[in-house]
Amino acid sequence: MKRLGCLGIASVVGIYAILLGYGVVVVYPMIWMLYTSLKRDDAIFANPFQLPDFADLRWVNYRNAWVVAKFGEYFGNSVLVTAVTLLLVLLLSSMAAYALARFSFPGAKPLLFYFLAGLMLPVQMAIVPLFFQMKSMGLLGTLHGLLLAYVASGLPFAVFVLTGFFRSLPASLHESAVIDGANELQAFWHIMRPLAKPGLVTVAIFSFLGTWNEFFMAFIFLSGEGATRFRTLPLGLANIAIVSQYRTDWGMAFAGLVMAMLPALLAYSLLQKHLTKGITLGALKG
Amino acid sequence: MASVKLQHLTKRFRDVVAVNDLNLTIRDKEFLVLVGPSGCGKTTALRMIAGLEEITEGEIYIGDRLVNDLIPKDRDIAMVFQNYALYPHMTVFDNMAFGLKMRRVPKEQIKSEVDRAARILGLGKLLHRKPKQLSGGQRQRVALGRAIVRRPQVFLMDEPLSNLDAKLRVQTRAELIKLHRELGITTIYVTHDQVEAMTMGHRIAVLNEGFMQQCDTPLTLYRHPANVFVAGFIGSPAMNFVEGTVSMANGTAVVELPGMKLGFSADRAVHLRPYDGKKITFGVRPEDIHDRAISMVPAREGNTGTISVDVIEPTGDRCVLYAHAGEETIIASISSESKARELADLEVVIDMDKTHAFDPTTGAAIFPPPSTDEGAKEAEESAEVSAQ
Repeated sequence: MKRLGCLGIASVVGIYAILLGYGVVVVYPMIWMLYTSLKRDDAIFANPFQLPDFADLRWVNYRNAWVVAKFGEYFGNSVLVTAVTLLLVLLLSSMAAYALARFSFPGAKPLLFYFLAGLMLPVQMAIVPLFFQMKSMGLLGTLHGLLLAYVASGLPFAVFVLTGFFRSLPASLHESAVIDGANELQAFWHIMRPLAKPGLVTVAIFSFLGTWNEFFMAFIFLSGEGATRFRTLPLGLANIAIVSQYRTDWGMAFAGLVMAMLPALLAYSLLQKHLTKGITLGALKG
Repeated sequence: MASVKLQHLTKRFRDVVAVNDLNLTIRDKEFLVLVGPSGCGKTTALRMIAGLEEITEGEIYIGDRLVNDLIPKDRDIAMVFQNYALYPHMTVFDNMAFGLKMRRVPKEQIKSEVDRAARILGLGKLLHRKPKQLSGGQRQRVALGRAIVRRPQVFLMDEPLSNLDAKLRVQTRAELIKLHRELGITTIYVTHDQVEAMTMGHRIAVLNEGFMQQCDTPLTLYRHPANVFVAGFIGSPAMNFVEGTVSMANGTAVVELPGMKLGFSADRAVHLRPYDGKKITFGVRPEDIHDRAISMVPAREGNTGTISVDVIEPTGDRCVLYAHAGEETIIASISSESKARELADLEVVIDMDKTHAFDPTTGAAIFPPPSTDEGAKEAEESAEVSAQ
């Protein structure tokens, strides 16, 4: 028994050591980024890992990033694009998934596969034809063009997750609502949608992270000269790197990174309970 | 309140006929039970009445309205589901109020209606709880509350007691009967449990493989089953069936069974005349077989026999005997005062006036229900019997 106890303690210690190591690998770069954003450029280069001089914290890096490097503008664009994308993806995918999960109609299965095919194809493969299509429709260099691309690319994953969710809900709830006098839209909105909340939160977080950090499509579709005012945060960060080739302000760049990272971190930490619940529910009952 | 009329109601799922030409009238304020084994079509029939299942053929009338093409909410019905189907994210109050909200009933009226239903069902203190905070019996009452709050014309109940434990089921059964008496709402109740059917229904419609076998009062079904299926389905323990050959002599009929010769009275023998020299399926309920030593039914020639007892199950005031006569298994339910012993023979008396005879080919009852029987009279008036 005692021997087994020792082994048990050893394995617990081992597991904690591994988890701690993993935690450090994940968390340390963020902390490093945070305190580096408060250092002078020369201090960053002199000793990259040293803590900042607390008597001389460079809060001005944040002001510079926000005003000089126009991060305020990029931040606004990112918030707008992400919010609208999120709203549209949640609305459209939940309605599509509900219909695909609840009703049997001709073509339902091919339609689901069509949605899922979007998960298989990387966006890089479609970017050239998409570019020309956007150009011919006059959507290049516009926020609504980018939004359209984001919503379309967000739908496959969302429909995939939510179809599983709606399938796992008992049909009798819908039937009960219909007998209670609800029409299809009311049954969906008042009964089925609130019950799919864990799934919706999962989709919301993934869509948020995907859209907030998205660089590739934004870079391609907002490439024109006239589109600089529509730049999102990832584009802004890239711009600093490009501009800084000649005169580097790394403190400001790190401040920009922190500003880009914070909302995603906040969203994740607030909703992580729902996220894990959503993923397991979908996996088990989907 | 309203009557419900099913005319030639049929439902096909591709090649499977779930409900076959069902004709049935449920009277205003009646409590009708649809009963049958799994897959007999009872739930499908109920779902067609609710509007949750499309009708392949036939008509459904609620009151005078043909409702075939009406969506569920326009049929003025309420349904209680087997799993209650309570909305898990809503409180008890909101669950009960949902139907009224959808119908745009003013807030004050919703509150008073929900309060009334909660008072009837004893849910007053639970109105702000969520379904997951309730016990099985409480959830069941909320499901009922959600149904009665709208004062529908018809209640549809799909095995509402099957998720409750045995004790609570008996208690809730009585509450449901009381509730029906108070509200007087036409109710169609689906169950596979014949005890529930017998205790709750004004009338019972027995279904098997999509066909209605018989629809009548519980006692009529018990005393005068229309065919072998109904005879075997209604009553617990189930009726004994033994194949026997009929021989007619001097206006009386004798059926020869393994280990016994049983004679029918003259008025019943008349109906057996076409079966002279042929086989019939003889049916006797376990409770109509008595221990000869203590029997209230006098023994005479033609109502006695011997069975070999295999196992005795005491159930209190009765004992269930698992026995055999020849190759046939016989179940008897006798008074626990009997001195019957396992692995010994027992002299028995059979109450011949309560026995049954069925055509071995069609399974239909050979003796017609007596015309003086109240239940049978009722049956003639409204129930449409269709033996498969």
